[in-house]
Amino acid sequence: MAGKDTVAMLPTGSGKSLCYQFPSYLTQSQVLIVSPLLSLMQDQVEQIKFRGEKKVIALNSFLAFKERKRALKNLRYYRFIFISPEMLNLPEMKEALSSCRINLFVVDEAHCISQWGPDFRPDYLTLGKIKEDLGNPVTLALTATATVKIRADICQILNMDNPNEWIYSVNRPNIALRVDQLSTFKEKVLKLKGYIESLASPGIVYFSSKKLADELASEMNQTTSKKISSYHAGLEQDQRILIQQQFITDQLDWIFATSAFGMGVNKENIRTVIHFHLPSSMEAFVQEIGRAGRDGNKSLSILLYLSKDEQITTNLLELERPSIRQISEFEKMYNTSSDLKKIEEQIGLSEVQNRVLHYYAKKDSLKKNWVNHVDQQISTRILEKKSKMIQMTEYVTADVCRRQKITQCFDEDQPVPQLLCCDHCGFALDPFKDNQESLNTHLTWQERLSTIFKESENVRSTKNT
Amino acid sequence: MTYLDAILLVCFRLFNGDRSRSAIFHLVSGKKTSQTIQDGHLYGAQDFFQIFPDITRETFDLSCARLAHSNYLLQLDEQRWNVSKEGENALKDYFNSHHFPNHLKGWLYHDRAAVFWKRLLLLTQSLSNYAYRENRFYPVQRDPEVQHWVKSVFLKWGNDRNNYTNRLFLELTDLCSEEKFPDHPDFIIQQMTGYQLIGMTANQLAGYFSIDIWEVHIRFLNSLHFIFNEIQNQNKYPILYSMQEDLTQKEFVLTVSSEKTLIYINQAYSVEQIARIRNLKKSTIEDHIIEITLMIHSFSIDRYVHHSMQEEIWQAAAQLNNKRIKEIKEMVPDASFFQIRLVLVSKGRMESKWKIPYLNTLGSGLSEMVKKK
Ligand SMILES: [Zn+2]
Repeated sequence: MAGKDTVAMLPTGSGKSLCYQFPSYLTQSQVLIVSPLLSLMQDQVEQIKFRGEKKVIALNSFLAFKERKRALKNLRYYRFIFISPEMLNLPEMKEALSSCRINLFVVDEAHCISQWGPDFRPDYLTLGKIKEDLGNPVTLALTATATVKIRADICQILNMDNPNEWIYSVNRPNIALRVDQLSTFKEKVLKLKGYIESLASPGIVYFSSKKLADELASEMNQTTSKKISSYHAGLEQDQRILIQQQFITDQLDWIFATSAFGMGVNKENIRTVIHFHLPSSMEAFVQEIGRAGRDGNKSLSILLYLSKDEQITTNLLELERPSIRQISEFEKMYNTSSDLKKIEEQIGLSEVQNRVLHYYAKKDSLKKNWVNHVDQQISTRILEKKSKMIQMTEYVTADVCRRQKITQCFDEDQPVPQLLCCDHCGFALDPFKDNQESLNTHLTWQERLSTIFKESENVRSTKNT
Repeated sequence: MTYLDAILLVCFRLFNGDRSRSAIFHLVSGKKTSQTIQDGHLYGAQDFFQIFPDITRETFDLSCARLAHSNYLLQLDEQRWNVSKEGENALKDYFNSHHFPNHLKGWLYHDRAAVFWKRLLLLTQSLSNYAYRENRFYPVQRDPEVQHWVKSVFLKWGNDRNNYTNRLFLELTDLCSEEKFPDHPDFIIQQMTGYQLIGMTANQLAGYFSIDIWEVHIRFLNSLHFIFNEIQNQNKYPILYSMQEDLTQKEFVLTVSSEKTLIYINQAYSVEQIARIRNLKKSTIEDHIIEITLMIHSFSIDRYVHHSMQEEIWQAAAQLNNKRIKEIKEMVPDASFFQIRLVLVSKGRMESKWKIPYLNTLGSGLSEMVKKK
């Protein structure tokens, strides 16, 4: 990186974290990493510890008060400091950071910065100011997928001056692309079941509903020969860790997940990624299918599409819009109460709505006619999101090569024609069929104990006699 | 009826319609207020304290609604519900074909057993990976205090680790092989993680045994509390004992207000005087005294209830075979409600648990078949 600001667009799991670990060892400096998702942060910390580095800490709301105090006092001794954007804005945090020598400022999932991105996080907008407070260290913005427009946003908000750009192609030649158009929900479930039984695993099926992921996972776990579990943010952390690790150690064939799954998972041999619902954007789609085939072997993406599926997502978007009445009530309450949770409950806002309104209250509080201003801003946002949806729908309905459709969205050159390209260019599913027997072994408790402790059964019998 | 419904019905049965629905919610979710703890002890339901630490009010209300819909619960008034005849029968039938958790000790063990379990999981994972010569793995427990504890034990055992691994293995095997082990050891052992062998989740166990997730949770907890009780035998289970000996039962500290009341009591002020001085209702001071009686075992109630009346109340309770204060009051009309509660609480603290023949019969309904699968 040679001490220059950099925007890196790398597929997940391609050693993103090495980008900042390696330089740190060279210069003996401290690295501050802003990371938006708590589970992702924990995963990254574990991965760094896994490599033998102990001087790493995650500052987030999981940390108990006492631990946090101790961590803040000793902050300058850590080499890697992970922090959530909310925490970064706390006064005591700013003070503790001023005692550190931050030489590298890393913003992970940097596309969250952009208001036009699907994962917009208002907290991220203050990062430019924070960078300044830290004495303008070299900045590295990491993202798995971002359009040209979003990349421009990132550079502007982070005050990056003529940065290096490392852009990897969104085109992954070893992933074949397929869309199945279905006419009823029932047909869709049957299709999925057929794929689960016949296609090569390990694989991930993405759902937009936790409930459906749970239900279908438990049903198909019983009725197929495959081992399937669901994974979403509604599960407790202990259980999430187990499922993730079972998947990594090939004890599970399929994971039925919401988009919460995958960001921190390093698994090379994922063979198939299926979308049961339409993803919210091309960015999300490319990121999710990109989890397949990191070992370079041939892999498969399948999108199951029911006509009017986009309607569900559009309706969800409309639900996200707070009414004028809610916005004006928010304005009144915001000026008198600082209890966010209370505001949320009284006005009946969703968490996302509250976060967005809160952001506008902070940013544009002096604007005349604030309520209308906010309503307009939100309408613009929703329109943007709808156009993202339309892009996604076009991927499904277009008659051209799907690979070409993807590269177009990211303003990349046309892909080189290839074998096993997409269902429009024509390919058979045979090479992607599962030819392994599912390991269906259930150990008895005695077997499990002796395996875990590496004891042979005869230890027991000799002792008994 | 789900397993959750059945367990809640048992709680309703214990509370006898004397307490509101919320009291039961606070009990099973483990709210640490003096009212909840009093209720638990007074009705012999303290073993159910915090058995569902993560239950939401919504889930709880849904379960109650199901019970009411099946006419297992009868509404007494807006707040209070009691178990109907149908409910009693349904409960008996249910626990004839389902495992009943005889070993739960919620109030006594809730926090210590949870920490012990986390330590056991992480220590086992660490020893296993060590045994297979793998020093890099993702810990299944991320609680920093648990990680810290495991690290220190690991260092302490040093080069003797293989020996300790073997002994821990033998202790666990012995424990699960015990004649009186209450359930299938799968509920404990299949959740444990080792080298390249990740533990099952509660959901997966539910699928494997074809039972609901609540049953998995309670049967796990029941076995865990059994284990926690067994390993107090230091001679028999030295390693497992050492994994929890530093965890002392956190004594319930009096609320600030009760503590103030206690200071006045010790200066020989009467209930009325304290109420006046503190500008509180008399009933509030009486609640404080109940709390003090429950928490401080040496506190004598003789100054509030004459010894002979204590006997009278106690005998009435025994005769009625319940703790319904109103019925006791009918038999001992001279006693106030406060005095009756006080006697029940003070006797309860000595017995630590009310003898409930009901629970015992339920427990014995457990058939061998259910036990094994
Ligand atoms: Zn193509």
